[in-house]
Amino acid sequence: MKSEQAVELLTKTSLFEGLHQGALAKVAELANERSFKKGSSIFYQGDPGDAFYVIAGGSVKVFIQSGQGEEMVLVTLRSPESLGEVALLDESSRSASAEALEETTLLAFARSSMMELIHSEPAIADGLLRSVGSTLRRLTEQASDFVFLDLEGRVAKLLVQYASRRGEKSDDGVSLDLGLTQTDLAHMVGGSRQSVNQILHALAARGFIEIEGQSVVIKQAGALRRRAGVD
Amino acid sequence: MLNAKEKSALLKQAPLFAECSDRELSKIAGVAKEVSRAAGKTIVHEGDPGSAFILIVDGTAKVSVHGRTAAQLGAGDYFGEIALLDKKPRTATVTAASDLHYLVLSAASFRIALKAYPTIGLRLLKELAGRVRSLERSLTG
Repeated sequence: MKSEQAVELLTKTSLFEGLHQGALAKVAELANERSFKKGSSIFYQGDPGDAFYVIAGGSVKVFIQSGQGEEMVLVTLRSPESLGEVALLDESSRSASAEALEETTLLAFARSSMMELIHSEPAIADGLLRSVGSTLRRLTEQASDFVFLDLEGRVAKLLVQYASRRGEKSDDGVSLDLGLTQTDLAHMVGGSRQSVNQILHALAARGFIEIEGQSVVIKQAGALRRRAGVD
Repeated sequence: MLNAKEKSALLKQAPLFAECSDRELSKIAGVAKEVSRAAGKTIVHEGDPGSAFILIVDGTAKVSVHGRTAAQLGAGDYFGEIALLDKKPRTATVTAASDLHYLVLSAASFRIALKAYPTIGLRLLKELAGRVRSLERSLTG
């Protein structure tokens, strides 16, 4: 990736919001480009947390494993989102694992580089606070959803959230390319693949959504939101 | 009226500021305002843009979501630490249940403190990172 492309990517990254071009160019110089094939691991839960990443292309799933080996997918991320801040900030091991969902390119920043950046550009601390604050908000909401929503409600909520993050409006409705297998989807809402599959078909039968392979079209956003406990 | 030391001591109770040094706390306390509201007054509205951190000094407040009472807050309780950072809409309405005396740290004031002591940012980040970890662990049950 050329330096200008890296700078362009970093300009879009909320973490580096507020930095002027000169500072961004310096940040870009500290990055190492890394590529990952679909299904390959970016880091494992428990690994030393020695780098921070900005996604240039492709998508990543972040997941945790329970002692019993059950997987819980926390979030899926794509460009220009970032990952890996937590371990970097408290100088500890990775709290979750990250895997490429498709051919993925990342800009990697070593911990020493990030620390250097935080000290020389205080605006980055602002960006990190926003980013970690946002992660915390998301996790708190997920934890609360497990208490207050049933499985169908959680599936509905996931669809509503993806619609607002990445949905594409058309005359048909709001179209989502989840980019997730049904297994991963099940792991995000804490249900079995079978149950989640049944729920998606039930939502389709009620006319809330239409399923087209890995794509979902939301037909009745209001009804779906109510089912998700959002409205 | 609280003096600077008393304000610092109160702020230190909030986990967000638990890692801060006395000097850093003193700076934050210096920009935090004291407010009093009579019983029945709304402190924050659900859905409003909210970017202040609020810590209750005295009195009780009612927290409601979608019109339903969700919690009661009293002296020492606080809310809005994340709103301070990401300025997202308030997730609940908070009303004074009794005459309420509280500290307000606006996002703008907080940034003043952050600029004066950039290390505050790092401490906060460390504390938040710890919370992310606990939440992640709780999700795997």
